[in-house]
Amino acid sequence: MTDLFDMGSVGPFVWGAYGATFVGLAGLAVISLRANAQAAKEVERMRPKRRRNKAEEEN
Amino acid sequence: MHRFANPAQFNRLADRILPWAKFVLAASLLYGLYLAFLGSPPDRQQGESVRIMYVHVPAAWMAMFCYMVVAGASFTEIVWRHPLALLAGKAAAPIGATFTALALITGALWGKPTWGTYWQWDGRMTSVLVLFFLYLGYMAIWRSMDEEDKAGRAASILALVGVINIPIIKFSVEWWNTLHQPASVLRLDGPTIDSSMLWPLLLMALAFKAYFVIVFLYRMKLEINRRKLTVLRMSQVNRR
Amino acid sequence: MTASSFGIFTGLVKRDIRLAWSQGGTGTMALSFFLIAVTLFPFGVGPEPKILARIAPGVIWVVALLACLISLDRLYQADFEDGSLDDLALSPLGLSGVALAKICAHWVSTVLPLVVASPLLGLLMNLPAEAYGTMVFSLLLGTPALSLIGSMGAALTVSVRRGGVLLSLLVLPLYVPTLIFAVGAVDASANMVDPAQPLALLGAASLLALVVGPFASAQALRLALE
Repeated sequence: MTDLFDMGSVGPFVWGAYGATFVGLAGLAVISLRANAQAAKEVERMRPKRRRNKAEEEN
Repeated sequence: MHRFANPAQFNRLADRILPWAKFVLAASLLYGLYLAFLGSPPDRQQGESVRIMYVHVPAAWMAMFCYMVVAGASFTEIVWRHPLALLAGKAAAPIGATFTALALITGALWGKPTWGTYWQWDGRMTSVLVLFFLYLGYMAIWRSMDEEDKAGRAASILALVGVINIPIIKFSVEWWNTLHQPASVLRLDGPTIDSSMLWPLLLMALAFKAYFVIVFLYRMKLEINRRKLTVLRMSQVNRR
Repeated sequence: MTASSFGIFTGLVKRDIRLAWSQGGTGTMALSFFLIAVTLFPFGVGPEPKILARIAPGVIWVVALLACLISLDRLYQADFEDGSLDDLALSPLGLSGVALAKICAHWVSTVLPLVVASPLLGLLMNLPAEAYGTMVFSLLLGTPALSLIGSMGAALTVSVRRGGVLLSLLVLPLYVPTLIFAVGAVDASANMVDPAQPLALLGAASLLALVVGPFASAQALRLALE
């Protein structure tokens, strides 16, 4: 067991490395998931429209 | 292979894999972080800064692994014209670039307390830097052309040329490094790793792999949705 | 290679060399860039002869590499834009042969003058006398790799408007091994060490580029012509 908050002078570097990793990976994940959700929504939004158009044409 | 060429089938498969990957990510990350911070002793030589290794080394592994995914996808695309392979390369590249950047950043943060400098032209760090440039080139060529398929195939050719070059770059950089400075610095890899350090390392590596699977699958879905959108918009324009 | 395709090959090489040295061609520009850019370094790091001698091999090689690179971005573009690349693609040479011919022409017209001018720059940069032979030889041996690798980048960016910056982003990382081996050889000679090993590695890098370069260039050109 070590004391998390007593890593001496290297503490900031260790926390910095883990922080950077977290920010980088979480950031990329959020960007990717959001972009996908948005694109999926857009696809859904356009789909019914196309069906509607088709229905109108058939009438 | 072509069984997965159907986007709907791919999405079904992805949805089946995702919960498992998320579980593996959560479990290995939690236990890995516990071991990295609390369950492992400080290194005799490196002291507490050895804890940076548990993110640095897996990030560097992933940097390489993602490039292999990009190259594999490019090869599949060039040889079999597999429609999803094109998207797989595009989906994997930003993840690889992120891991590469993180490997460099964490390496620098490890270097400062250990070597006394943020950057050392160490053979490994230098070749990771060049790898980062290869990712940048791959992503830049994707953006350079209006026609996505063409851009993707050009990027695939570049990725394959890059993968031939990676071992040469690695060799040349190591050669150059030994030429200019005898290995007096503490290497990133110790000669032997104690099992108390191996476990957090492997668990973090597993967590990163699971992270890759999750984000990769979502990015694939994103690319497929983008493709659908383009088709939908085109058909609307044609209708008018 | 049949007689006729050999004729096309040499014809293409001659035509491109002529174009490079006609008005507005890349030949004179690359050479001028080489001369001017190297002379910037003493202004940047100071005129102390010892420092200049230390950095001379690296500076001359890096600037030669950049001069080669900036002359590459229009390697295929003119032929692509006016449609003559389509005709060339159908010639018995094949696109790989066309690429090889254009690479040869680029090397002879644009890179060879740099090699010839390099001793003069060595003089300006206070290069140690022992290193001149190795420098010229390393340039002769290593610059073909630059043209060959650069040709792939030029072919990949042929349909991109303002592809020059993109070209450098694609190609520069791939130039790293060539640069390392070449400067290693010149440095070795400057320090009275036998440069055989780095020169052998440099030759190997060029040979590999010769195997991959024309083929990959042809693939990229075919893609642009589709």
